[in-house]
Amino acid sequence: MKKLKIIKRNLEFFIPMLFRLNPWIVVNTILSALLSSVGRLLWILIPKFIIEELMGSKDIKVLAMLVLALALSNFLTRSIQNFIQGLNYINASKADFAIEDMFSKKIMKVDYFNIEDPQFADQIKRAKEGMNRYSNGIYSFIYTLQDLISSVITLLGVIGIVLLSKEYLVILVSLVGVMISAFNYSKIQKLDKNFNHNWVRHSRRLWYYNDGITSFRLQKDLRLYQAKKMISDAGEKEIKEAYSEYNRIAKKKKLWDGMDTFVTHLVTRLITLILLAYAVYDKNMTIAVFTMLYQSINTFDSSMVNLVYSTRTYVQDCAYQEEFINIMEKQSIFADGTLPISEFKTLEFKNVSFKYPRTDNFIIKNLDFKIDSKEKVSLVGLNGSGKTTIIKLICRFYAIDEGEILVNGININNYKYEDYMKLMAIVFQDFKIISFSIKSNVAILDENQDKLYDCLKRAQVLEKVLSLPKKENTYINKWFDRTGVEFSGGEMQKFALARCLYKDADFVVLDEPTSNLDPMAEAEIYYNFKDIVGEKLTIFISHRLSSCIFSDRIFVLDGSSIVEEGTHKDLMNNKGGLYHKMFTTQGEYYKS
Amino acid sequence: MEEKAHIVKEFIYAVKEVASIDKLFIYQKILYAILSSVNSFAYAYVIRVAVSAIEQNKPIEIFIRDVLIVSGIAFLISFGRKMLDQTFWYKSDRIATILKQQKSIRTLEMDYELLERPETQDAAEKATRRINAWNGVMGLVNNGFMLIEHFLMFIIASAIVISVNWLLIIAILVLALFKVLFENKNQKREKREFYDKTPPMWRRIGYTNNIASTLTIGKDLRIYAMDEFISQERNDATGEYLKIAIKNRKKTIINSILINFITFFDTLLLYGFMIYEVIYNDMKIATFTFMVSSVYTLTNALHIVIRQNAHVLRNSLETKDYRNFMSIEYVREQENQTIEADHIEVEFKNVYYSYYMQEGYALEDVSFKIKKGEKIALVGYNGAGKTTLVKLLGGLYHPTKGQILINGIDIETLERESLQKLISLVFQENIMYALEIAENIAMATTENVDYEKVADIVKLIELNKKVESLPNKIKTHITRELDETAIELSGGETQLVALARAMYKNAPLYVLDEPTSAMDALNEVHMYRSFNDIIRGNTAIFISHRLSSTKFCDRIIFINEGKIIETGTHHELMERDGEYKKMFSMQSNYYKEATNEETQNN
Repeated sequence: MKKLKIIKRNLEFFIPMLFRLNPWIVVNTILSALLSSVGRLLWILIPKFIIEELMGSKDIKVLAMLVLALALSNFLTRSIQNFIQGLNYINASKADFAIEDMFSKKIMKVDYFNIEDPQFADQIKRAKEGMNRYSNGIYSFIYTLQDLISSVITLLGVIGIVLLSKEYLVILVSLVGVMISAFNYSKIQKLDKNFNHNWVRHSRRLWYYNDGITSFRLQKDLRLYQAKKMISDAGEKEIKEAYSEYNRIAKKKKLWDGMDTFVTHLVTRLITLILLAYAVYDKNMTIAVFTMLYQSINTFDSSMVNLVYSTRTYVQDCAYQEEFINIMEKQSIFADGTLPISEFKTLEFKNVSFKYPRTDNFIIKNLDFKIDSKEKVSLVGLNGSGKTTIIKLICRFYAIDEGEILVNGININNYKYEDYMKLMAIVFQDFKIISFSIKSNVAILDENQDKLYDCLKRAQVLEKVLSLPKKENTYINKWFDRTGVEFSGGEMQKFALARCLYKDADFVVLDEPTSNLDPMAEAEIYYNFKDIVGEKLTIFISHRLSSCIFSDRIFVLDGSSIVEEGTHKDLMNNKGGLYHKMFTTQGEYYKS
Repeated sequence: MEEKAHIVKEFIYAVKEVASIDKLFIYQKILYAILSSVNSFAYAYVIRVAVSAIEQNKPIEIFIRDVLIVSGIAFLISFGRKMLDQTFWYKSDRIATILKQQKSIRTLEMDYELLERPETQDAAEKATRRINAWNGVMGLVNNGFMLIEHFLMFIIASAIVISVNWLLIIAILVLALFKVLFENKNQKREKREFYDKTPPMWRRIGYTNNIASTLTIGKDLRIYAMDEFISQERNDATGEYLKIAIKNRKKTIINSILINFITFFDTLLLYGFMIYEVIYNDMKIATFTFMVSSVYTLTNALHIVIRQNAHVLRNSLETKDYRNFMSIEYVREQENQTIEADHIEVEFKNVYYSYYMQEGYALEDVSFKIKKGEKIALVGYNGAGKTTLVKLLGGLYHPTKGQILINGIDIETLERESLQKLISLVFQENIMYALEIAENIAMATTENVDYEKVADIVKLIELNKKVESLPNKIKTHITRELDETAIELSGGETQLVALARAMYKNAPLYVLDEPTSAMDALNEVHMYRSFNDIIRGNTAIFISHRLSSTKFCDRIIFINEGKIIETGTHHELMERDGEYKKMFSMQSNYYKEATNEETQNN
């Protein structure tokens, strides 16, 4: 019952999609299936007439006609099939790419908290593997349809031939054989399914311990800490564990496989032969009919097995593809707001509490603050005090547990998300620059060279960019382009800053934006901050408290809430306070 | 540039490599080839026996007896094949993994500087890029034996057919020759017009596909609305791919129709000859059916030999890649001395270093001495050459000119392992492995970890609070590479684990490269304060571009643009009024301004 539901869901998802993408795929598939069964039936029938003729009048003309018919029908069915399948392959590839695009777009739009959830990452992995590795994705439906149709037609034809010669018993024997085969196959399939399930873990480990761990980037420590033994120990242990499991399954499969060979290759064939021989002896069946019937039964067996195999495989594919459908149909937990917004004036946290999904510790508890002018606010705190989390909440990446976040006095959930996101420009601590050109990274799809140069200049990297032969069209690293350039961490950080400036949004967040810069470059940014970023509502996060001196206001976070607030001067006057303690300990090492 | 490989030579190499891992596997392969080639005639032979009994009007008992015997033998053959099949699946996978492991260990033993060169990296990547059951070394063995198997089949079939009519064989071979020509031409065209062109497209398609689900880019993607750009890039790449795929398909279809056309003559010839034999040479129908199926087996075997040839050629190129990498001279000959020491003195004598294929020196005429038990602060701006110096000292790079001495011995004469045992080194980039935290600290698998020692260290550097909060404490697995439920440590915590790793090793020389850059103010200061407890009287070099480190070190070496420009104590350098003073004043400026304000307020 559950299986039926899964299949129904699969069909309801893929068939309309397939028709939308390219209805010809289905037509072609049916045509190709028809041809292949016609070819197979002719291959049974024509030789029968040849043998009959050979044992009878031996008329050369008739024989020549028959042989020509055989060769021609073979040529035509095969060639037309090649043609149709070639076409279909292209159509299916197109459909496959379109599906990948849909999937990737979906992932890019899904609520962000999912992306950080290891379970969702796992779900994506299962969906991808389910579509690509374990099932044939869109092809699985096409192949199954084709197999189904061609098997059914061939079966009908064969049954017709056998019934015409009134040898009912052989069909029965064959059916029993196929049933036993199907049973064996289901056993093997079950073993395979369990095995694949466990093997995902094993294969990842096998890869990691025997390959991944010695990738060049990881080698420095391995060498300095004499880890060769650790690696070979771990690798060998995993090989032993994984392959003894593999061997165990292989042994079980051998049992079912052996049974299957025994039944299909020995028992049923032998019985069929003997039954047919009796027909020859008792009922004067001709040798031509004898060989034809024997071949028909073989074809019957293979078509039947094919039918069982492809339906079973399809059922399994549906199960593998479920995760993909789950993701495609995933809904946002935020009911998207309807209010338009075009300006970011004030930000207020009202009694906000938040803990990450499936955890018990509040990262933020009863947080209250308000920023109501275009000022620069520094967010300060020890590692893990929730600074980055606050930024994620402002971006509506997570749903908060209590309280509300207001922008211009209105709960952010009421705004249209797309409009709302247009108002923020953020450099995250773990910002990412992708392997495309500098221009694509900074301006994305926009084309405004003056603006681009201006932003690169403010981010203090224009000079470097102009010194490159391809300037802003230089690729970041060599992944796509051999002439790409490997930039330093500091330069990448400057590109991230330039991207943020290019967006020219009302609300700016800079989370450790100078961590990769050397002190000179850092100072440059600290001192010229207002010129670089402009008059905007800005939140600045840094471990280096020296950055706070230039802030209009400082919030000090500790133990999930704000413990101090004020200008640098105010906070330094609070001698027992955390800020004073942090600042003086950092400064202690600079007293000459 | 056309790559060439000697198929037989590579095949023998591959068989030897595989035999060194699993000798039985090779014998099983030979047995399988024999069984398979016989198997393809077995069932046709059963029919022959059956039809012939009927033709000769033998009694039904004799019919049953004859058929039973030959079916029994045929069954045993296919049974044997099936059993071996299952064995091969898991063995091929296992052997491929072990080959990867061997290559992987080899990279670890290889001279680091040599391994870092782009061409060695390329060779390393190529060596195992495609090893699995049907690719690379293992693929050559599997595909090679498959070729042998079909060649055997072809021989047997030829022998059978020749016994009836040798002309037929000649005719079939001539037709087959045409097929080979077409097939080869098409394969070459396909390689040139399609397969050689697609890898960069797949790279782009793969990258744009993966980017969506990459955790770290998720935020930027949403903030900067990059989804449209990514989608556009992908569609460009898939469009380009489809264009050449369609062109290729069309030509392939035409080619296969050509081949079908030759097969058309195959069929005509085959039946023509056989019918001739029946009519004029009195061939029995039993023989007729058997011959027809034998000829099919023959043409089929030929077809597979032709097709298989392309696989085998590709596999032998891949095997050559593997062999090339494994035969690189991977250690330097002169590194043959060993060294043991409890205390270490270091001397750089006019050391120069220039990176491979790069002009100019990253380090130029660097000379200094470090006495045993001395604590040195090595400071300078980003890109000054600090990390290069660390890699030289750690035995990863070799000086271009000059000497590095440890306790008076030139380290270029030392076995790398022996040298590296003497150093507790924390690199700027902290690498965590997908193992337990304790295993990451001890760099050994769990049965070889001294958990008490780990616990003491973790406590000393105040990582214990974090560790206690984790589900499996010190045995918690980190990094998500293997286990989605594993813990990701923050940057600061990662640095603490890297430090603990150095302390667990407790070598007579500590080298710490920017070990606190991601720690928060309090953690950093704690580390500074307990520095002496951390290094326990050993010689130490502390590297940073922040000058706070100079306070707890005995001496400062200031390096700029690959040269040492100032050395001395903090006092000495401040009095000299040089680069160091400039850098120090700039960094302390913020704190001074702040302190001044503070005093004013007071």
